Amino acid sequence: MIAEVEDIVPVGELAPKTIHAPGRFVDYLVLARPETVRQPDRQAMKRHWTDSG
Amino acid sequence: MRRVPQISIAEAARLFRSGGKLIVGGFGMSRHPVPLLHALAETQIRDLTYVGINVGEPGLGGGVLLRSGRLERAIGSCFTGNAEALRAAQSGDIEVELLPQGSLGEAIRAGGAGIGGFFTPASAGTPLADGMETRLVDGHQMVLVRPIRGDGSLIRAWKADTAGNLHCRMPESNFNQAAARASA
Repeated sequence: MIAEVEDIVPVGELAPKTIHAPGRFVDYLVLARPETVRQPDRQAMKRHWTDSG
Repeated sequence: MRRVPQISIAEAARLFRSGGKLIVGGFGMSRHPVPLLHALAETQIRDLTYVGINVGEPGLGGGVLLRSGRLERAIGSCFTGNAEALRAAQSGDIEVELLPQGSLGEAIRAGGAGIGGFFTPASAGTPLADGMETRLVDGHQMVLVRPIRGDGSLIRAWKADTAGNLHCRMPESNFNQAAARASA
């Protein structure tokens, strides 16, 4: 399993109660900060739905 | 302590093989692993089975894989957000399996937990249940949903520590926990 994450912190920095998936299930980490993530173009989506009826 | 390797997006994309089953986390386009999916579309991979709520949006996320002809099959619950997916399904370019959203999440969870399937009333008596095994349980018609396991999962989380523990936020936590386990 490959997890794309916005930040990688040292062990111990995440509170145990905030862990949603234990590291046991993660094979690789990929750093992808928010600025590298292209967000959906809402105007394009609006045009898409208008065009497709 | 185990240290999970950190690799580049391009290196991650090269780990997948053609013909595999890919489970994608997130909740629709919310917290969708867009960079990884776009990098995957730049490889020569093909004949993928894509498991996720939807196949991204046109030309975005899973939609890039669809548009570039990398998908052979899609398993999900809501493809209406991507009209190209509807057209591909109607024209037979990809095979589509629709599951109610709860059944989809539970099927992925069951895959990760090693459960052989589960009976649910969702979709019983509807065209979605055609061809599926049914059983009467306490007077209610139930449909057998088989578990879903993947050859690989891609999820987007907010933070990780170097041991790979993931902290998800917002809709990330809806499907990511199940998706993480279903290909371990």
